[in-house]
Amino acid sequence: MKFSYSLLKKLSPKIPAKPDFIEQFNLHAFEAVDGPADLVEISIPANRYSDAASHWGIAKIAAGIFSGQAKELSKGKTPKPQLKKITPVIRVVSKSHCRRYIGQYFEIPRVAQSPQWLKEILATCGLRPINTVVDVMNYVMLEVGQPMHAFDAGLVAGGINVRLAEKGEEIKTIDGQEVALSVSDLVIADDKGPLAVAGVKGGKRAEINSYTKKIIVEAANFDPVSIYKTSRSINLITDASIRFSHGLSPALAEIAMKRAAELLKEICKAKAGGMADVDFTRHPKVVLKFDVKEFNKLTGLNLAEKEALNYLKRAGLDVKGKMVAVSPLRTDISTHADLAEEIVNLYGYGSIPETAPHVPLLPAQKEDRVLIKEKIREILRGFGMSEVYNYSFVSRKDLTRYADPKWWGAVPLRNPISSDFQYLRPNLFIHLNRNIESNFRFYDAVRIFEIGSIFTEASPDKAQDGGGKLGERLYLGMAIGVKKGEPFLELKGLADQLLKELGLPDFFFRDEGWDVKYLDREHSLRVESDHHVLGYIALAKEEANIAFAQFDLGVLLNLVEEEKEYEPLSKYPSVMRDLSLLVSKDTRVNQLMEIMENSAPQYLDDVDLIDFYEDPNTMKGGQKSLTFRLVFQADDRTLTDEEVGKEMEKIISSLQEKFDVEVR
Amino acid sequence: MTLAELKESAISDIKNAKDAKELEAAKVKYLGRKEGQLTNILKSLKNLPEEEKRKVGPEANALRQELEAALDKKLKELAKKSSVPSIDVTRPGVKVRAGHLHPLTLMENDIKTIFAGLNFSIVEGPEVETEHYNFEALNIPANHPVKDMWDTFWIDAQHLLRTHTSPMQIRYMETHKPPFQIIVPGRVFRFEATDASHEINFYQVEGLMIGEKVNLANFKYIISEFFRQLFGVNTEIRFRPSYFPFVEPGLEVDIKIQDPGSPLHNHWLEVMGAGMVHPKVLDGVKLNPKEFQGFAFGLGLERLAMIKYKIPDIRLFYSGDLRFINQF
Repeated sequence: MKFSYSLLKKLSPKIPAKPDFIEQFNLHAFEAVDGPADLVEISIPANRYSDAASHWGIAKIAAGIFSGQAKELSKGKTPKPQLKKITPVIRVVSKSHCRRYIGQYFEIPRVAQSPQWLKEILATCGLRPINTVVDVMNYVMLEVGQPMHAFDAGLVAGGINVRLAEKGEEIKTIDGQEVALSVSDLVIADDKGPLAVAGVKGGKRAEINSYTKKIIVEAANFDPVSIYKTSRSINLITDASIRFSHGLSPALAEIAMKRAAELLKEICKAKAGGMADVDFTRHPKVVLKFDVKEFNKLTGLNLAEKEALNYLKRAGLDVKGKMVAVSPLRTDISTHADLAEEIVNLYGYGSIPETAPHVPLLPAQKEDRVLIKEKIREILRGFGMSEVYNYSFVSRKDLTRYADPKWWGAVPLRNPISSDFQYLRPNLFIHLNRNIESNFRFYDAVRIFEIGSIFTEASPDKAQDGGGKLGERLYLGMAIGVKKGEPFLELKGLADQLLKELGLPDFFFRDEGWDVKYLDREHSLRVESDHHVLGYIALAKEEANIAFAQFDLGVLLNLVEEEKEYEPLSKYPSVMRDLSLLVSKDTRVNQLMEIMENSAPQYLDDVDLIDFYEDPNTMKGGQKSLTFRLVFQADDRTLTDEEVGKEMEKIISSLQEKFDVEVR
Repeated sequence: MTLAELKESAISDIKNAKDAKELEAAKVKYLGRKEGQLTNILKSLKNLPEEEKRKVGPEANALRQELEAALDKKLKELAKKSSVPSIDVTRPGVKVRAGHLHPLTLMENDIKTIFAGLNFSIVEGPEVETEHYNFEALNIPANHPVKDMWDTFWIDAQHLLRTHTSPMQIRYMETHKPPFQIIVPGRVFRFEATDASHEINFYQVEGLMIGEKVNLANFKYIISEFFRQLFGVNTEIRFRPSYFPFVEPGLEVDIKIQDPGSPLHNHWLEVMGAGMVHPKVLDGVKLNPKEFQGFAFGLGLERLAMIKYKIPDIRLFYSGDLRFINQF
């Protein structure tokens, strides 16, 4: 909010030079920034519009900081009404929307230009000087904080009604806009219709003009929520609507009317008529008992009661003994903690000591999901993967490239910032895939991962990956892209090792041609453990050079076991045999390995594929050559050649039973 | 030739042998079975008179042992040399494939480490929140301009993307009995135009410490300690009044870092909002404000990372550009 330094100085003469004032005001009250010439920009906290969104309010706070005294605004005497018999007729129909309405009648010789000093203050505060009457209204708002309005009384038909708009009612505002009103909008109306949108903007019809001689001045208090809603629904946000929506004290209206009367007399040579004050507010006095012990307990200070109370006095509060009476303008003060703030602000945070807390020593812990994230990050970094962070939003276009947003279970935002960010990401794939593409401009191989939340809606069709309820799940996504070569097996090996290092005791990769729309069905594995689906490893759809994997960390967290247990080292040497096979091209390696493991369960300790060869030019009829290394081991003795030979025979015959296998 | 002369010549030959072949030649020359010079001397011992035999014999034998040892040693030396292939040690080392953690992860880790050292637990909360947790329970009224401090993405009438990590204050206090102290790192969202310092999603770290007499002076201690550990002991820290509906008194924290290489050197930077937890908030989670009190704070992770790593534009964090990430 814009303030005139010279007006502040006039109201609170003890404030120091501008830069010093600004620095101290920052440290003891609100954020303030220096502006050109006379301007000071001050951020008014949302709970201080009632007492501080005015030069008078700031001057009072400054007086507390700089140990001065703010001037009283009025000379204490309201100008005596000279036209006693003429009093505006005010009828407040909607009491819940208008807590107080003060209207006063004035006559002026003529509407003229304001004096220079007034114009300058308005200009500093960003307001355009218009004429004496309107300028006085605006000036009072700047000085006191109460929005004011003046109607041309000659153009008002009958009395003033404060009521809700009727269905279909419209108003032309002072700046010429036609505004359609709804039945929840409060208006100031006469017998003909709306004169103003209450608390937001005046209407054209009874606007002050160069012929105006009789005026009705309004100082009212409106319900903040009603004004907030109206100004948003008709999309008119004004100085007045901002102030009213924050909530002002009804007491402010009275102070402002008094000040307006004074200034109208001084500047416009106005004669005052009668004043009507429709007031539904009760003014319960807020009185708080100050407790210095509680104050010291909250702040860690050790102030004497007298000293603390003295700060409250400086803050402009009415202190009698330990009782603190709060001015009705201070709508922000209702608890003891609010009093503590007044003292601390003046005392200064800089003077508060730094004291180590005295608390019971309880162990600090990290949540499991925090720990697993940390662990995954360290492991993957060790594997040469780089971590990316992507937006939590995706576009419809990105989703429909693979499937309908419904298939994804994607959650749309009610108010997306743009179409690029219309949905919450249902998956980490889309962004990781794009990261790889864009990094290909600078790298031949890209290895990345991301840990983040994904969001899906409840979906009747659970065929999609994960399925499930509207919700948020923590996912790990990994992607490897290579310009030349094949990334799938690298990623598979990496995922395998990652899961082992995380302490997942038992898991396997199921190969059933999964129909996941963004993955290549022919090259997709589902990772399962203990009847739970953890995620997938696959090639990206239509992109054979990008492999992608993702895991649901919520599921993973429930399955990992921290404990590692020592297994005795074998006292007897193991026996190794290599087995080379020629098989048809479409035979799956995992099926062969499964048969080997099952046909010699007693002594076969490990099977590994150590060589793979497939060459359409030299191999006969679509075959491939595989070499396995089999490790045999008994717990209680060294196996003989003969025993191992028997096991090998069993394995080979099982293989030949199920597959067309040629042993080389 | 005397034994002494023989010794001198033999040692010199052994020492100067450049390879195994030359060494072998030296061995033959002195110790060769047929014509070795020392062998000849030893052979001729038997023709010497008894007295001289007794004198020369041991000397010659000692010399033989000495030469054999020297030959052996030299042979090992030469063998060692020949087994090391010739390398140009000035060539670059074999590249190790190194992964990189995102700078926000590194920043978060630093923060977690410091707070763990101050005995704070680390918890997280949901990104999709209800209006209740995000606003009402934090004393932020509906239909009030104060709510505009948090421009919100809405999912439906009840659900929104959390605009701050503060809802976790409520969730944690509902389920835990003080005393406790926690930090809550997490992603938050704001409906606002992006520029070099604003993003639609970003990270905050929330802090909350509640006990019977956790006070403002304790807050000053914890936070000053935190910033000095994060940015160095010479960091200046300033506290000034501010307003957030869920704290009272409310304040903001500025720091001034000492880093002559940084464009931010010696400037006051706003880095944290904080305050004593509002009695209404405590009441709302059924903690008696007369019995318990404490402080809460919130900081922006990107902001701190930008200060620490001299990153000029917040949007770099979400670019996925490895030329950026791989610098960390």
